[in-house]
Order: sequence, then C-alpha cells, then structure tokens
Amino acid sequence: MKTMIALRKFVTLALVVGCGSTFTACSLNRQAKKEEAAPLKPEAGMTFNERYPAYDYAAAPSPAQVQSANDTGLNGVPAYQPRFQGETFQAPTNTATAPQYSQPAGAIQRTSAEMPIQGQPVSAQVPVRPVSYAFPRGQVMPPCGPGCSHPSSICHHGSTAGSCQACQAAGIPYQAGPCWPEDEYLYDGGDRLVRTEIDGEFGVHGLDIEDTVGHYDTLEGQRIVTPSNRVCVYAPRFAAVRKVTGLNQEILGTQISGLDANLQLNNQQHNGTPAGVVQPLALRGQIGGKMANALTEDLPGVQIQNGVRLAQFVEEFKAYENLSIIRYGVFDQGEKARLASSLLNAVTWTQNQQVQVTVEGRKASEVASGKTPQEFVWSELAGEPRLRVVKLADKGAAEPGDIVEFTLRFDNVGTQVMGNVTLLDNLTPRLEYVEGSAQCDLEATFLTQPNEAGSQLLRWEITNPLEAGQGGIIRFQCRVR
Amino acid sequence: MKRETLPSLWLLTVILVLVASNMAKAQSGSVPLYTERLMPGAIGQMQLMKGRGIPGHIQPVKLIPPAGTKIAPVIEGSFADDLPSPQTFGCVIGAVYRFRLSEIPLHPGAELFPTVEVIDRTYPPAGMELQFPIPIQITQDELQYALEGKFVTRVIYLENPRTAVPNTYEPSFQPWFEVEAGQDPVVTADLLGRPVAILRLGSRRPTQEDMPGEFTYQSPPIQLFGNPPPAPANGVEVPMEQPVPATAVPMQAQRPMMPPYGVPPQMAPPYQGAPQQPWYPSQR
Repeated sequence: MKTMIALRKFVTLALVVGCGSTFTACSLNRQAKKEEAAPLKPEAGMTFNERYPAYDYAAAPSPAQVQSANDTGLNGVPAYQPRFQGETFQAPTNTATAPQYSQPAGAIQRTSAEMPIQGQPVSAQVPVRPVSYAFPRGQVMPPCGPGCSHPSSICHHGSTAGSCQACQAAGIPYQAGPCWPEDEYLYDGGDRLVRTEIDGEFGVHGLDIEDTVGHYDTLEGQRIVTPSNRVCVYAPRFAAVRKVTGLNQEILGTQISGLDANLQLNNQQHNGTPAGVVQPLALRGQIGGKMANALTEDLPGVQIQNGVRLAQFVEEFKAYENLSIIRYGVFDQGEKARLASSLLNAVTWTQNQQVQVTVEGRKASEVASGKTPQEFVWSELAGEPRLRVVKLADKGAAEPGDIVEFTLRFDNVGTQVMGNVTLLDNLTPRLEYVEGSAQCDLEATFLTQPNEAGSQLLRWEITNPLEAGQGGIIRFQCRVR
Repeated sequence: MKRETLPSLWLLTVILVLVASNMAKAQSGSVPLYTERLMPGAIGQMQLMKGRGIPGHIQPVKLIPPAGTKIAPVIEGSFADDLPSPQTFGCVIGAVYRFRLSEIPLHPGAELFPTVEVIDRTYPPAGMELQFPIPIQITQDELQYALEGKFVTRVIYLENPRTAVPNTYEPSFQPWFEVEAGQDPVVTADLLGRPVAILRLGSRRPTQEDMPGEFTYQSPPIQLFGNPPPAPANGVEVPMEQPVPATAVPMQAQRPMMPPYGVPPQMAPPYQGAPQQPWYPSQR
C-alpha cells in the first residue's frame, strides 16, 4: 500500500512537471506565432519614408528594345553581382575605374587626403584588356556576357571554363594598409561580423560597430548593400589599473620600539666572564660496527612457463578484402568499381547515425504559410546598377583629442540608375562625431542616432536617384576620444 | 499524511543535491599565468619567450610624473643626472628599469625609486615611434602613497578600441581603475586590454647591504630620447617611396608601413633608402 501511494505521488509529480513544461512551451509557441503574424517593423528610431523610385512606364524601354540576353546557361537569369565582395579582391591596376561622374565644382574644400582624381590617367577609357591569368597559355578569356558590358568590369572565370559566370566592378581602388595589431588602430568602414541586411521597410539589420555600408534599390526591386573599404587611424589609448597596498613596515616599527634593550644588557652584567675553557678530548679511536663484507645472494630462479600463445591470425583474407591492393598492395584498375562499392557500403552503414533533428522532444517539421505567390511577372531591364563606396581618412595617426576627417566617395559604377541610395556609418566608440561637420555634395538627408557603443550612427539618404556614372562625396569629422 | 509527503520530500532533496553538484562543477577556475606575485621582470621574460619578435626591440616609454619632478635613469650601474619631466626613454622589453624621482612637488628632499617593466611593445607607423610612446603617468597622490610607505602597482594597458569607454579625456589624463586588496591588477588589466608596462612605486631604497646591481636590476640598456615635441596638429605625412610624380603613384601604395622589427627608431631609417631626419618627415 505504501509503495502504491509513493508510486501515485511520483506519477502525480511527473504529471505536474510535464504539464508545466508543456504549458510553457505552448505559451512560447503562441507568442512566437503572434510575433510572426505581426508585420516587421524597422528598428527604433529607424523609421524612414519609403521612397521607391518613380518608375516612368512611358520612358521605360519596351521589351523589344531590350538587348536579348545570350543563352548563358542560366535559363535567361542574369548573373547578379554578389552582394558582398570579399576584401581580398583587388583590381589588377587602379586605372580601370574611370572617373565618369561629374566633378563637384568647388563646392567642397578638398583636403590633401582625398584621392588625386585629377591625376588619374585619362587612358582608363580604353577597354580593359581581358584578364587571362586563369587560362592556359594561348587562350584568352571570352569577353563579358550581358550585364557586364560596362568598361570598368573585369571577368572572373567560373567553374565552367570558357563562359563568363560573374563579373565584378573593378574594385576597391584604395585598400587600407596592414593595420596591425587591431587594438592600436581605430577602424571605420567595411562590413564586420554579421553581414548587413536591409529589410523591406528600410530596417537595418547586422550593422556592427565600425561598419560603413551603402544600400540602394534597383529598378527591378532589389535592395542591395555594398560595404565600403576599411580605413584605420593609429590612435592607441592607454589606461591603467592601480593597486595601492600598505606594506607591513609600520607594524614592524612598533615592535622594534616596544623592545627595551637595556634590560638585556643589565642581565649580561651579572654573568662573569669565562675564566677558562674546558676543551673536550678528541676522540682517539672510533669503534665502528662491523660492516658486511660479502653478500651472498642465493635466490633460486623461479621458473616461468609462459604458455600464452599468440592468437591465431586467419590467413585467409575476408571476402571484402580480396582485392589486389589489400593483398599485394598493387592497385588494379579493375577493382575500382568494387572499391567504390565498398565505400558506398561504408556510407550506407553510417546512414542511421546521422543527426536527427528534435525540437523540444518533437520532430521538426516544416511550416509553410498559406500564402503563395499567384503570379510571377518577369521583366528584364538593360544593365545593372552597382554601387562603389570608398572611404578615406585624412590622417593615419591621431592622438586623443585630434580631429580626423573622413571622406566617403560613392559612385554608381554600373549601367543603370539606382534609387534610394543610403549610406550608413556606425562609428566606433573611440570616435565622436563633430556636430555640424557632415557635408554632402548631393542633396541628401542627414540623420544621426546614438549607437550601442556610446558613439553615433550616421546616415545619409540621397534624395535623387543616382544615374549611371554619377557619384558624390560625403565628408564628416570625428574627434578621437 | 506525513508519510505520504515523505517520498515527495525525498525527490525534492535528490533534485536539490543534483542542482548543487552541477553548480559546483561549473565553477572551474582558470589560473592566470601573469599575476602580480611574480617578481619584477618575470612577466617580461615570459613575454620574450613567446617568440613574437620583441627581443631587442627598443620601446619608447614616457614617464610623466607631476610637473617639476626630476627623473634620473640608471646608466651603467649608477644614477645619471636629473632630467626634467616628462622624459621619454627607450627600454628593452623584459628588463626592469630603476628610476629616481626627486624634487617632488610639496615634498622637498624626498626621493622615490620606482621601477618600470616593459612587457609588450607597440606598433606605431614608421617614423612616429617617439610620438606614440607608452605613457606612464605618476600622479601626485601616488607619490604621496609611496612616501607614506605604501606600495603602488600601476599596470598600463592598451585599451581595446571596440570596447573602450566612450568618454572624452584630456590628452594629459590617463584613465585608471583601482583594484582592491585581493584583486590582481595584472589580471584585471589583462581582462581590460593588453598590458604593456608595469610601474612599481614603493618604499624601496638603496641600502649598503644591496649586492652590486641588485637595486638597479643590473642596469639594462636604456636610450634617452629627451622630450620630443608633440606631433603637429595637421598630422604627419609618412612618405612611402622615393619621390616620384604623384600621377604615377598607384593608390595602393599610399598605405602606412610597418616598422621593422628590432630596429631602434633612431638607429636606422624606417625603410629602405630613407634619409635620416630629426623628427618629422614632413619637415624636410
């Protein structure tokens, strides 16, 4: 009876624990569903008016006028530029980017740190020599396919030789030097850690500290993020950790002062001076114990009979080992198929050990929303836009209190107009934006917002769409903390 | 009724014991290698053994006591002449340097003998090594503590710029944190950044019983750089190559260069073919 009561108690407790966890999971699940149903909102303070480019249907090229894309093997899908170009990419020369934009006519005071744009060779308009480093000698890479026709593009060979898989804008003209170690430099620019994404409501996700990105909308509705290069300023800041400890010297001093040495001297006066010294007699001899002079060891050897034999090795090879490479070490071409099947067996045997996905004790299942797109409208537009963001700093080293001026140069190096061009700069905590120092040669809206590192997030929204070949300059100052 | 609640109490007890054992297991303490208990010079020697290219490197260190204090370095076993503060010295990493501070403000006749141990180096751009030394500030209250017989340890570390305190300080002020008794300043500095130097300031004085070279730590080699002028406000242009027409310079070349390893800043030109100049390359 007692055991029955105890069992009943245990079952009750298990039921209570199980129900509690189930209720918690249910409420969490409900909460998650509620969050899923609610529309995504941009981050706090990041609400911006959505400005899609006014698409003029009358002026839009008719489908007949659009250059029909050659069959690139991708079923007519144009090869878009990947969103993130790795930092290791370098243009072969700097002369590939031609300054196609109109120069701002003296509106902004130029500093010595800006790129010598006037000094660029004019010969950049010459079509770029095909890059053939990845091809065998004598063969030249075929020219770029559709969508890559602008002069400042070079080809990157893909996995299939002979066809242009992807094109990239000819590069970041200025790459920051090897700023190492990182704790002595202030960085700004690039897209560190999490890749920055802009959602449909202009919410910014993944913009880390020090990041500088620009994003824009294409006529096809894409929203593309382009990181800038990184600049670094040598500005180490030192701090200290202090510890003040009291030594025991004071305690020792009080002990010494507490001793009265005169008493000891008085005591010594009572002792008479020694009249003589009795010298102990030296030993005449030493009687030592008799040492053992011989040691006879007569241990009989214990006979050990090691009767353990080696385990017998089966001389015959097993069925799956009956291969030339196993038996003789000679590889036979005819055994390839059997070797492959053995490998396949190994794969098959390990099939049941693959990772099983379980979420809270239940099997994971796909959740599909009820909404499915009913219609796809596909239209191709000639060319593609491509943003290039270049960042510069006016000095390479600064001390705390100095003012560093940054320059952002953004250009549409593509062949299509881009809209909603926005540039974001998330400043590192050691940089403090100087109020009123931001300037832009294009019409833009400038916003600042404190970021989580104690500095500021700068944001420029370019009002008008950027035509192909057009660009602008942004300049702002920061004080080194 | 009490008998029925007994199994539940047993179950609760078992769960509590399991939780407590789990928490005890989670307290796995890490033992730091560098602590303040190491004798002066031990951390620097271990840094040298790491093989990071710092043996032989002369690291500029700027001693900044209160204004008016005189600094005397040890040169070949004896204290040299008093120098006005601040002073920049070139120190070898891993050695311990003894200094003498005299003419301390508000304490006439008092002398202090701090030690400085450089345990890591910095990597400033070429030609700007003296403009970015390791600043070791000794405040007036620290001198007061030391004169009262206390022992001041100051671990200077390089802040991580990504996790730095976003405060604006005066250029002459060095932020510092105080640790209590029982906490280790070296470990704390290692958590906050990269420790580069250790200042020990206490009541140690030279005595007659000192072995030769014991008080001065065998007087390691030191370079006297004086008090270099501050960097110009508009920055310093570091030339990269021999002068060539500006139009022919590719932009990739306009990057700062790394200083060569193991070469003192004034002993050799920072790059191949650079002329010897006093302070700034832009003043040529």
